[in-house]
Amino acid sequence: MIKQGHIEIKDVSKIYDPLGVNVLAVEHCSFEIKPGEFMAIVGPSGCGKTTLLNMVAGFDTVSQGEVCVDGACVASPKQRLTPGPDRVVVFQQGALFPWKTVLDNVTLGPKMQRKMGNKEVTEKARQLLQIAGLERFEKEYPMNMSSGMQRRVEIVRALINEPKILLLDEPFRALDAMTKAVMHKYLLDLFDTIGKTILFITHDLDEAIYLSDRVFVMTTRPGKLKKWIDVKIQRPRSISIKITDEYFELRKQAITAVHEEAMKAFERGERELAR
Amino acid sequence: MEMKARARENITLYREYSWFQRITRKSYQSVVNVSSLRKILSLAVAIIIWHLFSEYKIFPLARVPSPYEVLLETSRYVFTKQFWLCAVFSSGRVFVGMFAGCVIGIPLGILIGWKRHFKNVVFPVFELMRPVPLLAWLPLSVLMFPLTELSIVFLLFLASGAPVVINTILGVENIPTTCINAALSLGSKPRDILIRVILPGALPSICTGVAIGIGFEWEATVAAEMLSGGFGLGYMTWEAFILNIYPRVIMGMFAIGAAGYFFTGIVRAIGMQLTPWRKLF
Repeated sequence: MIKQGHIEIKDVSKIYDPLGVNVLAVEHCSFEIKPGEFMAIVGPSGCGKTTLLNMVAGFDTVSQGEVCVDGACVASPKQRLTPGPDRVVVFQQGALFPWKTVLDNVTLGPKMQRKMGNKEVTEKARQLLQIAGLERFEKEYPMNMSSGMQRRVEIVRALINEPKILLLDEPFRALDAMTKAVMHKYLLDLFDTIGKTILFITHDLDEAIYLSDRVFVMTTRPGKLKKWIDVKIQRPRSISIKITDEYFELRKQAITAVHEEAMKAFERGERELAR
Repeated sequence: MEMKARARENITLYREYSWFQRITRKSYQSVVNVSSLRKILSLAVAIIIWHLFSEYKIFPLARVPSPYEVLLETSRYVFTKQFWLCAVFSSGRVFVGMFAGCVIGIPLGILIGWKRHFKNVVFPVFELMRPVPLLAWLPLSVLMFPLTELSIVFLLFLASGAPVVINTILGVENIPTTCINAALSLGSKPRDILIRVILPGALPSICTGVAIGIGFEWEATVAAEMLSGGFGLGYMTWEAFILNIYPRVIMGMFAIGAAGYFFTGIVRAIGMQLTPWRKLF
């Protein structure tokens, strides 16, 4: 039974204040993610998904409320930002260091935390790269790899730190459909074997339902809870679940919820332009 | 299939070359090919036009020495000790100016690009001083430094410092926020961020800045070496003008151009060695 990686988000709000105009990005969000749960957040673009993740990761301050990991408060308005390797983020793109080879990218985290010896780190990195099918590319620079491979390297770079929680910020956004399918399979298998808590941000409903245990549908800005969708499909999952009735039913729920919000965002956008 | 295998073999072979072999091989390939023939042709055409214009006294080049006169003067002057001393002096000054430009310019650029508050304090002063022509700095550099050499090097430093600083700022500002966030997320301290993210991330841009800066320095040699009493390619050119030896003026122009080309080439080659990830192979 997995004990670590319990995230509690208690009444979190975020106000941006550029040029003295207050913009409420996230409003009174409260939920918790159980240890070893795969949770996805979906919502229309600009709804504050990434803001929420940045607050959990410790890149952005919290205006109100607090975020707790395993009972310890990691983000609150009074606290300093505490990004760290216990909650590693995997980004959309461009977060691999282009000046480092694949192996150096992967080993960077443990080296900076000075937790393990160099030899040990390299060995572990090679092992993880092999699982990801990348052992032949350890001396390549990220620029020379396909975007699917880059994403895998980034996931490996996160995993080597043995984080309690993986935060994925639309990691498969820039991938084509084929590569995406492969990456979904990789992530599902990975989740079944490592059993970490995963918070997954996406705007792709299919992806959210296919991968996660629970989907948090966010409203348009200011982002708050619109709807919870429980995905009770058995794991391990394969691509064939995408044609079951259960899947369609969930998808219908999600589409209805998100579509409403997307329309609101669209109309508001027009109003803002007209003003 | 066979072709593919051979291509792969070639690539691995290429990787097994030492850096020296790579450079020599590459430079051989880049010198002897069709496009370099075209370059030679264009140079030849330019010289022929120059010759015709000065020979038949056509407007802008009516009183300018012909290529033949320049060649004659060059063949006479290029083997003298005087000329090579000038080249060595200028190169030394350019090098010292560049060194100072890097030592001061790179940290300054990194601070301006990284820390917003520092930028607010320092950048206005920098931007105010940057467009001031070098000749306008000349009296001030005489007043500031007790030695002529120091004044000259200071002027060259001014010429090279600006592009180094600007390009360093650009390089730092262009590092994606996600890169810095990723480093934070992997557990790095501010010092690690500086050494492992900011510096390598800005390095390609810094190299470009140094390459541009060294070109600017050679451009500035004539103005800076007006102060010099003895040697320097810029001094030589200016002195030839005062002594009415016009072919030598043109020879000096070519010498400065060639030196600038050579120095920039060296800086670019070093830059490529420092940033191997830019080689798209």
